[in-house]
Amino acid sequence: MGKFIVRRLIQAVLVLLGVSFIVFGLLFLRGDPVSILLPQDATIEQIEALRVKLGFNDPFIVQYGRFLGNALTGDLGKSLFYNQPATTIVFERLPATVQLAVAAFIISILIAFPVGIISAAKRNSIFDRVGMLLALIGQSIPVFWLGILMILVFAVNLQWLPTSGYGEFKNIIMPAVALGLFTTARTTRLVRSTMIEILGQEYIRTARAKGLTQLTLLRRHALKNALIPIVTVLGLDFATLLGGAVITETIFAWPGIGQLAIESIGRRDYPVVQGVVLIVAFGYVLINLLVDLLYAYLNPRIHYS
Amino acid sequence: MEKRFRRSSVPLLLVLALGLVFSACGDNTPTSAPAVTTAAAATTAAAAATTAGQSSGQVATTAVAAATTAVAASGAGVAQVVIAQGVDPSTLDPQNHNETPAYNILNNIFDSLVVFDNSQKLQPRLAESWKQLDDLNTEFKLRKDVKWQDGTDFTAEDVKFSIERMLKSLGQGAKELKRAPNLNFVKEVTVTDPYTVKITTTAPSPLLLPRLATEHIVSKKYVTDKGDDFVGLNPMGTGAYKFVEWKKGASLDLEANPNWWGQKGGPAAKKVRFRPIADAQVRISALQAGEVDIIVNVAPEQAKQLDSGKTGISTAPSARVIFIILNTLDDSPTPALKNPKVRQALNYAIDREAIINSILLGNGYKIASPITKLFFAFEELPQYTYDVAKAKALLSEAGFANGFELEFKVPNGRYLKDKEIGEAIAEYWGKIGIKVKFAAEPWATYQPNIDARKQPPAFLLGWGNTTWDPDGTLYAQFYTGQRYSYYKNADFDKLIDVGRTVVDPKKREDAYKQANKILNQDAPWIFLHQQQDIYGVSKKIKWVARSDEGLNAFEIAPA
Repeated sequence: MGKFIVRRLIQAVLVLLGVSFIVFGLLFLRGDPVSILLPQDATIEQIEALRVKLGFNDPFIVQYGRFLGNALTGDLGKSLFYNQPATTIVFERLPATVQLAVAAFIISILIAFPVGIISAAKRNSIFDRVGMLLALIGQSIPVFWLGILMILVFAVNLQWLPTSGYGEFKNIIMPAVALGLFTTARTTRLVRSTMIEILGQEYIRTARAKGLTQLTLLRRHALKNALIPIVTVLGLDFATLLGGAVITETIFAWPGIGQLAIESIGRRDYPVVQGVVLIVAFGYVLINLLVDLLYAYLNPRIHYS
Repeated sequence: MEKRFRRSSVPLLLVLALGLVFSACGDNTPTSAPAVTTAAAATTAAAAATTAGQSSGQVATTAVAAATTAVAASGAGVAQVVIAQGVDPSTLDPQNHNETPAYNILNNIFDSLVVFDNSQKLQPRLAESWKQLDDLNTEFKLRKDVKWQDGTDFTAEDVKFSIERMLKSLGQGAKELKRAPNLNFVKEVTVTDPYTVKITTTAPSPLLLPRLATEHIVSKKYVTDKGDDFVGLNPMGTGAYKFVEWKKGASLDLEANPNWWGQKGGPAAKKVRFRPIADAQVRISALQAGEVDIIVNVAPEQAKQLDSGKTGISTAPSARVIFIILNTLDDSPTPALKNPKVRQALNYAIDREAIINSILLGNGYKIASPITKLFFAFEELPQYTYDVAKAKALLSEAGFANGFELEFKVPNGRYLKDKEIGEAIAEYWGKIGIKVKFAAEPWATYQPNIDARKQPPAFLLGWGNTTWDPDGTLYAQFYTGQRYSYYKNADFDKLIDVGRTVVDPKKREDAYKQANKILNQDAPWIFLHQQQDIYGVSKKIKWVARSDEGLNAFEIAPA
């Protein structure tokens, strides 16, 4: 087990190295941010002077090397826009993103499991059909459309919830639902199909023949075995929620790292963009590792060595 | 048994976790969470108080030089006003930003020596009066009744410190204060007595006053004691509002300064919150839902929707003009553009009225030169009216009767309806025989090509200049060799030099009028329009939009 974790952590470092190379390379191709740092009537000479001073004239490999060297010491550079360390800026925004991701994730689990299990148990019933239709719709609705629609209905017309913002319980409801809907729909379908498959297995028939009640059967025999593929997808889903809330955060003015990334790309605030990407990548790798470890718990036959 | 308990408790645990997440949201923000609800309640209460004719004690008695709308004598105050801009500021150091959103917030906390009113006239602010001593020296008499929000006295030392803080940072690379280049022509600041200060420039500098109008004065003691990093997050000024709290990306709270020199008892709006809401539709929804009171950048087609019921709109002619830069230089990729007749033809080919009326729904003003009515030295010049026959005739005169190929680009989503306007122009030009190769690009890729001078020979741009002095536009856009200039005209350059170095306003005015005439006839731009800014405003308050895009909460009055 220990060896397995060490190996995975080494892999994680390689992944982060690759990610840093890609993000640095892409930003390099977009051109340097020097002109944005100066007033709009700055002369060409002033721009060139600052470019030299900040090292944007050096070759790519030199700039990347410098970036990596600093990154290894935890220094991603100073935000060009905020004039503060990029890591400070990103970590200030991270809690909001985690809150939103966790809320969306929990909402999706609370809906997906009951609906998926009941749909599987009562296959082809009205409940199943309506449930799956809603899941299809949920998977097909783009979040920017749903977000605006929810704002118009629940904030402007009914005035139950605030349109956007951050800080109170009622602020998180709409963005969490909007963000969680796609995951909810996909997980519901996955839970249903996995359960249907397992309910057709021989050992389930045996268990039923033993006289177990439907509830015990579903919970103890079917669900536990269904969890393995579901946990994999859920793990990746959660990682995606962490990094993929860009549109939701922008619509609902939610001050997380997704919104920060979009703003920073527009401002060519490269240190911050790099910080967001690296932290999201790190989160992804970490969650993958946790999912793998969770396998061993869910299925004792799996051993890591 | 134990096992069963654990499993069946999974959903329960999830619910608990959800509760924790939500409560964590609240825990993070102890001050603001109740603030929203109480504020909403308080606003209603204030509205009720106004209708009932009670006064909450905020009678403005002193005339405020800085405030241009009449806040005075309206009786009641406003409990809380929420203002939504598109973005959050980068810093709260008033000398280290280059952004309108930051300036808009900080102008409520800090004051400048002088200020432009909404008719673009210079007015006293921290300086009571000023006098040009000679070509290089200007003396400012300061107000004696001004206190910093920490209770210390405002004196000439603060003015000297503020300007020197900027000057000392010049040339320090990334450490250079972002506003420092604005005053790079100042040589020294001399304190004559505690309330008199003399500013000396390196050369005669007519731009001193217009530039000072946007430079905030900081406290010498506060900045020296607390250091730059702290000051960037905790602003303390002489202005109408005190800083309370900034939650990055979420909200920035201010409260009225009861001891503000500008108005006895402080400004009418008691609490002010700035919120960044990036999405234009969400800003509108927030206004309609009553969550915010002022929103910026309302699109023309949405203005009507807002102008009814509890919300209204306020518009102001913008400091920004929209135009197409033509590459008229000797090495222009499209040599035809070197001929002024061709450039005039391209100007005559466009129906500006149709663009303004159908695309901008009336939210724009035709221009015939880069300088609009709002500027110093403006003069009415002949417009290029829509005239296809004349355009074609000019093209034949220039030897291009069969037209020529022209590559033309516009940004998509940077300026009001930029893409639609570009499409219309491409079509207009097609009608006089130009073979237009048109493209619209997102700003993120468009902008770097402007800096790299890799834009095609015709590209659309907007230019805002809130010094209200022609120099800020004409020098940057047309002076030979400047970053945005694709024009070379020695006579024109000489006139701009006069404007930059001669202090006598009459001589400057004449020089700029001549320069504008040259541009009007020589047509290095396709002159399009001056934008109109549209704001959404709650009917709970009275507020008038400004041409400099300012959001001065101290100009807000109860409805």
